[in-house]
Amino acid sequence: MSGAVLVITEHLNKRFTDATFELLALARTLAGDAGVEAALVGSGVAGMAGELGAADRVVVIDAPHLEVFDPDGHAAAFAAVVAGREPRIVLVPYTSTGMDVGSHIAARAGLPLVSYCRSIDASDGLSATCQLYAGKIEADVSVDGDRAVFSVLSGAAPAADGRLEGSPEVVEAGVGAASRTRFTGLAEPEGGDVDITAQDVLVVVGRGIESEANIEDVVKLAELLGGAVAASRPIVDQGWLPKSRQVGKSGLTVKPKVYLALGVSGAPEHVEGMRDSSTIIAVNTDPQAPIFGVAHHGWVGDLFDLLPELTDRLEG
Amino acid sequence: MTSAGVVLLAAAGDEGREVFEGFGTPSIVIFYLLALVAIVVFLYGFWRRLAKYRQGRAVSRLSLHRIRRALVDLSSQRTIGKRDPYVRVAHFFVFWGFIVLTIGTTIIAIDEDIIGFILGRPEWRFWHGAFYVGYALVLDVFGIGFIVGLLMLAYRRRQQPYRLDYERVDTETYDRRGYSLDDRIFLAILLFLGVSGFLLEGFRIAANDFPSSEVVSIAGWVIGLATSMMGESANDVARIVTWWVHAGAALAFIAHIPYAKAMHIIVDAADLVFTDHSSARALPDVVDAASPGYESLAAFTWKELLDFDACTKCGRCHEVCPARASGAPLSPRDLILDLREAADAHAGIRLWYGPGAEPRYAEATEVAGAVIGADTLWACTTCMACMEVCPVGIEHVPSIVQLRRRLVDIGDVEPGLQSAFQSLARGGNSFGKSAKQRARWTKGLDFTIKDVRTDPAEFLWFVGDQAAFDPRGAEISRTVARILHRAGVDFGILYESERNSGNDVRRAGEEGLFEMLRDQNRDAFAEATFERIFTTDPHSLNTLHHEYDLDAPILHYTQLLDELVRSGRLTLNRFDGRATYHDPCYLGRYAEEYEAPRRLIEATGLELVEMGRRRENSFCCGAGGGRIWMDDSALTERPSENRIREAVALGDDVRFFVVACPKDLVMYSDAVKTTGHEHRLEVVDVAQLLERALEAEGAFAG
Amino acid sequence: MDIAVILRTVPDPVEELELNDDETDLDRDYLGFVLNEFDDHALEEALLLKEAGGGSVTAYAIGTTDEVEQILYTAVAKGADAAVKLGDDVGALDAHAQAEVLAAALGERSHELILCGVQASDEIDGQVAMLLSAKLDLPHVSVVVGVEPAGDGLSVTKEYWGGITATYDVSLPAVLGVQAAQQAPRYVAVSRIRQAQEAGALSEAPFVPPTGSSGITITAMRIPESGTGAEMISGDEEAAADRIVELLQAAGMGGGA
Repeated sequence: MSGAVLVITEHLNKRFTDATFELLALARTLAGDAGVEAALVGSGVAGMAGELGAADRVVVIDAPHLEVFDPDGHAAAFAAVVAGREPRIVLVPYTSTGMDVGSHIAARAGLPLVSYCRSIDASDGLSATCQLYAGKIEADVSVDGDRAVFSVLSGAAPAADGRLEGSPEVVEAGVGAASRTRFTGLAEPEGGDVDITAQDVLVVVGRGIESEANIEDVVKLAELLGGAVAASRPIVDQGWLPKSRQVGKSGLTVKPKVYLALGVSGAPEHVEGMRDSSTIIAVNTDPQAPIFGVAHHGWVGDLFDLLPELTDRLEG
Repeated sequence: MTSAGVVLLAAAGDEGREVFEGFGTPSIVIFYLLALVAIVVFLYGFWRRLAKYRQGRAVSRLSLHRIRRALVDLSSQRTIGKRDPYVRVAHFFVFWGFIVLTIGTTIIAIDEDIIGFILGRPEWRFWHGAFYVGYALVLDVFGIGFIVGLLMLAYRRRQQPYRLDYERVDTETYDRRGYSLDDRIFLAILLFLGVSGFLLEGFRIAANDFPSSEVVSIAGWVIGLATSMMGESANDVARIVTWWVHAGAALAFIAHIPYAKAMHIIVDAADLVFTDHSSARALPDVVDAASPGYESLAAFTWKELLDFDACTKCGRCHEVCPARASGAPLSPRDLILDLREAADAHAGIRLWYGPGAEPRYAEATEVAGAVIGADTLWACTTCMACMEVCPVGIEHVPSIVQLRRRLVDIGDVEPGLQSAFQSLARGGNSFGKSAKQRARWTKGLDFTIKDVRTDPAEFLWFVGDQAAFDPRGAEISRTVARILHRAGVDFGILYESERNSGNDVRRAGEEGLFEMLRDQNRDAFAEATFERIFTTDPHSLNTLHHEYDLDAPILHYTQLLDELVRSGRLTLNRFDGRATYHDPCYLGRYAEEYEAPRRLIEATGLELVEMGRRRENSFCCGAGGGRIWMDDSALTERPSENRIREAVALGDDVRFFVVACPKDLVMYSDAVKTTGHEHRLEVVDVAQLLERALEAEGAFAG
Repeated sequence: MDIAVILRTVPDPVEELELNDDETDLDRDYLGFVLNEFDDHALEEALLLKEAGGGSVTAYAIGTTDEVEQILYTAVAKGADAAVKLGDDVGALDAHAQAEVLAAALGERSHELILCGVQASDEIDGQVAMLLSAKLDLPHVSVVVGVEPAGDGLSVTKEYWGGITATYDVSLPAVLGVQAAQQAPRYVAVSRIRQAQEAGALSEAPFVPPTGSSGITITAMRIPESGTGAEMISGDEEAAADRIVELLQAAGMGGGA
């Protein structure tokens, strides 16, 4: 085995995602002498290897049918890379693409898989700290043996640390098994009326808002603050706000000056979309809500009691 | 026959009149033939209706008690007179006038046709002499009353009160001129019969040169005086013409009764005899577990089919319904009328709906969601105002619940209600919280409430969801706990073993979930030792009392507090101020408790100022029937806001809006803010007032 | 289409979670379990596919607890044609073990499509959906938000970030990890669930105890301290509102409308 740390990279429209750089940064802290390798799968992507300067080697699988991410094809390709390179540690991002790849690689290579990792320790055997139960529990996990695949939550390491200039060695690898899935089209969401990523203030509602009618009062508050209303996934799923307002893993990532979360529990999928906001204020009736773990300021109480008080004060 | 009659009268030498005076035999025969036709048409119409009722599901409603109650209702006209003395008087006249006039005609038929003709016993005839005179007087008086009553009703109709506006509140629009025409024709025919009867009498008296005994026929006498100038023979001709017109109209009227509004004469009396005023308190069980709720028209009971026919479109239910008032697409009146049209169409009966109007729902098989829209059915708060005010005993609420059961069975449940049901199934509460958190509200107390599961207590306190999980409700619960603790009452709670009582779950149509909650609660009761139960929640009060089949007496906490104050176990310092009290639907109309909370308020020294809609006419806050779990964004004005405005109109010095139900507390606390009155009207629970009065003197001054 | 749906119970998210004595697992004695939300969506998607194109839906669940039986009866009440209970009193199985058990049971049968929730809150050692597809060597797509028949196979919609979605043609048989069905999971009346229960609508399948290991061990669990680093505002809503306005003004906003 190579003993290296292998990073599964992901890209769309010829741009690597932030997750890729976060994993590279993390990999650098874990890598021993064998260094960091990055797996790059796509079509006509060899030229992108230069952006992965944080890695010592980039293993490239280049094939036309792999141009856009294709669950079966890419999973097989990455599995082939792992089989060929035999890394000690494989880092997979906890993203939509990562979810198609992680368990497959682990199963094919017969390696243990650790999910929802916040941090990894490779100094004495392999262990990690993970989030379970939608962020309500933190677990320490140790790996039997010395090789494993880790599915890593966003924010485990700063992306900036992974964006290094460099010229890694490029190694070509053969394509994996033929794909049983075939990409047929991409759809971007309709532009919403409001771009929440451009707002300075976001007032965000979660399940605690209880009904669509209550959102009106929140809109009023957001207007008073010169900001906009955003939402966590359950609200958008109900159709109470459009997809363009969704913050989180399958929504948008935002970094406003003020993020006021009302009735948002703070599951990892949501937190990953707002963690970098400058001031996070959270309101929830549940003292165990994971949002308080990422907030700068918190109040355990009923948002319906707070809203009128806030609105009154802001109206002057 | 005629001449024999005359001979007899002459022989008796006393008062009376000839029935077919001046008619030849052919005329008489024609009359009886027409009468026969009229009666056949009449009987046929009712036979069709009876056949329809027979197809309804069986239900037991015959009881002596109900018959006695109905006789009092009918003779006193108290049901139609509720909160409307003008109509009570008017309809009293019309009702008794019609009955007396009918009896009058019957008397003639008995005397003339049965005793005279069929039995051939002229010596048994009684319609003459003093009897005749008394008869004539009575009939005239009641006849005059009859017309006066009709004119009073016509006047009321002319004022176009809202309740007689037939415009629909849901999305259906169709021509209802037929209904109005039906009403007016009915009124017109009756007036016509009354007036033509008196004209006839006048012509007869004038034609017979005013026999002295006929002076008791006051109206006829006066009319005769006016027409006497025509001369006797002209009057006689007029008499005969008017006789045929009057008889023709009367026979036509009789024949048409079962086909138009006039059927209420018979159908409504029947409905009052068979009605169960408690059917909303103790809802009927599910008939077929495989298909809970009414799948089609065949599922309705005969009493429900009778209800649909009994409606006279008086509009009282439409007027009082809080859902209708808040802009929801529910009018209890239209619900009943739609069901009538569907049931009639199904039975092949055709009422006349107006020129060119087609009966609707002839093809309908599904009722819930089709004949009656789902939005309409979900809008009901089960406040029972419709049933309380209905003069004829229609039972709207159980029919609505049966249709809701069907909607739940087919999964037509809006998301808010769905998540409430799911939360109730998981944690026994509608707040999405774990069952273990039910007794959290007790943490704010400085003493521990007894756990009645392990320690026997005199009272088991069934707290209820809203009073346990809602922070405002929990505040009231702590207040009640402190007061009772202070008074030394021996009480305990079920802690985590308590579940939502299921009252509103049942009324929202989720019968399976209701049974589950009820079983869980009953199991908890079985493990506990107690003598009496009291509850903070009137909704729980209703179902525990009527639908749980428990032995122990069940009180509302205001009744318990009232006991304590009256027995002196709690002494209150009085403070000043004026307050108004809102009768909760489930404590007032459902439990018929109006006094205990009022006594408590007055015992604190506050002066009670009553709102217009009070006691049995109290106006619902809009939360019942599962509505508190449903989306109300489509309403034009929440019922709770409507009610707050009513309270505010009582005057600036009425500072307290007193409630005795946790749902009321929540709804009105919100409404007082959304209507901008929160600094001027304080929503406060009876227990909170009591606690203030228990504190040091001067703790509060109004 | 012959569809299999995998249903799992997870600790009720509304419950406050407590740890067992040696703090390596949850205290399961008093835990309430509910159907995994994503599995509910998988079931809904399966029922929608059946309603649109015919076929059958079979629900599978591992375990013998009341909750497991309830979720199977609920599936039947909603319209599943069959419900299969796998296993003994097995306690909590990790994802690898679950995948092994399911693979053994499903391998015997010939379902064209296996739908499973994309994830469950306790899958520390990988996603069951994905592991199952690896064991059965079937194509797999995760984070699925739409499924439609397309020719001999399916057209599957997968969700990425920022609301972007992509469609894929997938050949059958396949395993899909469902994120959201095309409509919210339907409601089924308690009485119907009871009827399914009374009709005894469950069948059992032989349970092959899993032999494989996940290769990882949980050494410790803890409840993250809420608000480490967060200033927790104390007091009632008025105090909270005051403090929040302060914070807003410090950040340069909320000076007034």
